[in-house]
Amino acid sequence: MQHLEFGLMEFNARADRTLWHRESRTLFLSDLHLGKGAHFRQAGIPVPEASEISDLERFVKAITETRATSVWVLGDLFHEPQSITETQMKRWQSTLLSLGTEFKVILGNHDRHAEPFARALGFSVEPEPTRWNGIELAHHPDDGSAFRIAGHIHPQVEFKAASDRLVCPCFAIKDQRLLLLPAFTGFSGGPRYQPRDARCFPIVSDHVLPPTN
Amino acid sequence: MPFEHITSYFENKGFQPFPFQLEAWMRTASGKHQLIQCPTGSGKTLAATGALIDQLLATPNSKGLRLLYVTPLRAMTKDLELALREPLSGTDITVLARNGDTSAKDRASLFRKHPQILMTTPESLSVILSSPKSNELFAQLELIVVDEWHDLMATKRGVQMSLCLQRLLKLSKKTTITGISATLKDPQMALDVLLPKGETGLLTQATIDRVVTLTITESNDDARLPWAGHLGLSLLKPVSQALIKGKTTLLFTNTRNQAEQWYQALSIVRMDLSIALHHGSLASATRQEVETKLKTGEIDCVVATSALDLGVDFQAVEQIVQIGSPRSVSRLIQRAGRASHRPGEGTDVLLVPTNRLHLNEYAALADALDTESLEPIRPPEQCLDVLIQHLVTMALQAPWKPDDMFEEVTQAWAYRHMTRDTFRRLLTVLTKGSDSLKEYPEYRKLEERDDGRFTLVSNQAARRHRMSIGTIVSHAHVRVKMRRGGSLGEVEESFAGRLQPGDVFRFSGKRLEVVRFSDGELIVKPAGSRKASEIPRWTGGRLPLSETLATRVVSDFQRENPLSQRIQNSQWLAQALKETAEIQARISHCPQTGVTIAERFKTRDGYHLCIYPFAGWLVHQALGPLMASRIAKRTPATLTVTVNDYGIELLSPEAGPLDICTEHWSSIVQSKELQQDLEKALNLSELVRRQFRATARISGLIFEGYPGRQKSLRMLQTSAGLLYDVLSQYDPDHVLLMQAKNDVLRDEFDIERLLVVLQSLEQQSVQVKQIMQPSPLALPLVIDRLSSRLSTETIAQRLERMTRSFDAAS
Repeated sequence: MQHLEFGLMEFNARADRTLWHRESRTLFLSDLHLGKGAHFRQAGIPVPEASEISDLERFVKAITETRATSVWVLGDLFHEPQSITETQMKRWQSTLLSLGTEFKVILGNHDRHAEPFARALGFSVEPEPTRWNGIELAHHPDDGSAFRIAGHIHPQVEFKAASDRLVCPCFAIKDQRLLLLPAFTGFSGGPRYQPRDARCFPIVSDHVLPPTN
Repeated sequence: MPFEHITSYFENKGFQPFPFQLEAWMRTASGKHQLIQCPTGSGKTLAATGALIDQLLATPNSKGLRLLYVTPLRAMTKDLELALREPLSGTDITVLARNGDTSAKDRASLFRKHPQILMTTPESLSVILSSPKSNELFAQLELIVVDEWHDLMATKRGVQMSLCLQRLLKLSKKTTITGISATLKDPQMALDVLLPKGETGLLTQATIDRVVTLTITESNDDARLPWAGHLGLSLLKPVSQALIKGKTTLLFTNTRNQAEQWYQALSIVRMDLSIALHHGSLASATRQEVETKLKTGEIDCVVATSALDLGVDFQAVEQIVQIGSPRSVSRLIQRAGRASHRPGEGTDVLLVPTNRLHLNEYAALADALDTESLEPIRPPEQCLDVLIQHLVTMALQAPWKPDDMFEEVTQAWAYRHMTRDTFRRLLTVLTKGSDSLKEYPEYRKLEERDDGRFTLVSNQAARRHRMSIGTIVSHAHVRVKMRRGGSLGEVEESFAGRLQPGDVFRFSGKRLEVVRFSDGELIVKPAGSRKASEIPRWTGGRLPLSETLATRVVSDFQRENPLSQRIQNSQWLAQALKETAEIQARISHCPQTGVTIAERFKTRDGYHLCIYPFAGWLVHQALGPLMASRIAKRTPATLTVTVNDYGIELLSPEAGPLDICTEHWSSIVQSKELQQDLEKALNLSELVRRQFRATARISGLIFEGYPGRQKSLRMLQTSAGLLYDVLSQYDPDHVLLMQAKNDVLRDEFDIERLLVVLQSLEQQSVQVKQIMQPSPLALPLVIDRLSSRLSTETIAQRLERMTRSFDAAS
């Protein structure tokens, strides 16, 4: 866990790619992309199912570990709602509905026509942006002036040494007002920031490292 | 009289068929497979096709496709179409060219009205074969000609070609195969790779001897040739004087950057000439324009890279210039062959050394030409990614039974040793996603029907597969676009990634300023003149020195045999070589056969150990890190490794680790435990990750970059890197990961040869000499290391200082 100050609030950046606000027992995450692997497999691209199972397990674990009362998903809850199967929905429902947590979602660009699916999983659908303690919650980043927590970008940070390279997901604060959450799913890429491009909190295996600048 | 019609075509043009052409026709007529070995532009096309054209002329009303002509070069299909139409003019015999550029309308017409002759590329052939109608199309096929086989057979495209051949032989019962290749070291092997298992063929040899002579550009006394360097602009003056208005010159460089720089320099000093630039990164329209002008002789000089190595002859070309070393004997012959020839006339290649060691390479090159020692070709084997693609393509043509399919594909040379077990594993990958026990629910690609045949799951999947057929995967490229206006071409992603807005670089003959790099496009604008500094280089295809040449360079240091007669200014060269050897001997010691020489010296940077196995850059690239990691296993060490074609430099802050290297030489270079040590030594996973992109694309795992992308596919886009990460985390034994790893070991490090090199190093002793300053052999290594660390000015200054000390010593 790494202490992260943003918008006059204190958070913890967690290695499971969630952002934790202890005072209000609220957990933030974005870009879950449920059903992404299955969508690829249907198209003949072999993506092991273990990657999605691991995503879902991490999601449950984050909630039980923090005993969060409220969970915000900032967009792209699903990857491609049109290809969601009944079996998948049942599996997700049985996992999520028993957690007894309040789920809120702001729909992202992948969540087209996803409202019924989100509701069926126990999520309330909130507008973009939603004000929360003086901070805007949204899926998309913007060029505005208010503090905003957003997803969509899937930020990563790249470290380079002579012939070696390390790329890892990160929390990134840009221009002191925009906090970009890492993609929660392990099956996603994203733009690579150089350590000086933003205030990046790299996630390296089980740790969140101190910010890069 | 046999071949009456084609002979009279020759007579009307005032020619006689060459004996090898007659021989080839006879072999085709009697239904024999053959490989015609023949330099470009000596009538190879008519040698291969003459017998069939004669037959077509004899029966002008015959229907059906009779001749299939496959060439690796898309641009060549059009030229060949025109060339073959000529003898057929005035008849109703139709010739059709089909390649990736063919419009959808023309594509459909192929099946409606079968031409008698079809010209195509391996990829387009594969697309044609994916159509259920192709069995009708090829039913009457009599002859398949595979052009530039020497080029195809070395790559996965050749593997794809040979898989397609097996199907063609099945569709048409009486087809013969004719391969055409440049001169090869082992033509029998090339023929074996071309033909299905168990078939035999004949070698047809064109005995058109073209004498290649070499002239080396001599440096003036006031500008000594540098000891290290890649650009060679110090010889701009003599080279520019060799260019003559109205006498078309092809000037070959080895890298795109070199081409850009020479183009720029020559354009300034020879404003009276029309000079053009041609390299693989330029937009294809620009390249085609240059090629057209070359054919008609409208251009005085073209500065080109290997992108112009292959292809049809440019009749107008009269002079060949090579900047630096051609790096392989085959490439020199290939490039020399681009000039036009009158019978009995030779070609002279003007060689322009960019550093002194190139002179040694030139001498080695001439020797190798004398003894016809060409580089061997090692065709790829068991490419599972290509096979996966082909299996899906074949399922599109007609659902297949596994036993039949196994029989068919193992006829192809690359799969002749494939076991039923491997084939079964591939089937599992295609139907279940993986051959491991890992779960891939909902996976759909091929499915087994009730009758035991395999077929594609949906029309959508079929469409997607057709769009992604092919095996050429370029390295990640980024399009360069003007902010206002069109596209200029492509540069390597790794180069584009290093650029910042405002940086200036040279491309397509222009000075460009980076505006931004976004969405896979590098947006640029013309650079103002006040922006002075340029980003110096991007790699643009580095050519490794062939093993044939690298080993011969050793003997140049202690040359007893006289230089080859084909070197025009051999006296001058002999003197220059002697000087180099003398300076090397004075500062250090000279390479000799049977021993590995090494040098040790100390500089501000630390302790240096330079070892010279002369095994070429690919091998050294693996050998260097391998040695370093084996040293580090014995003692804690931080070693910096630099390699080039001649040797390896190990740099250490302390002397200790280097002592270990020479004291425990035989275990540092042992051939045992090669693969496992190599995996530890190299950041293999990063390299495999990069290679996986090609594997994933060939086997149809990712879809990217085809025109008019459908919206529904956007949700399916992912990078190969990401797929690699997921697979290696959750299914590390996946067949395709293994394929990518084998490709890396083979292509990037030449592991087979590395093993041979290690075996010979083990046998030899190492002779270490303590020296006071870097020797001529060590200097290029030192410079290469510096260039990756320091700014260019500093290198230039350092270089100058070091060179001065050599010249003072000489």
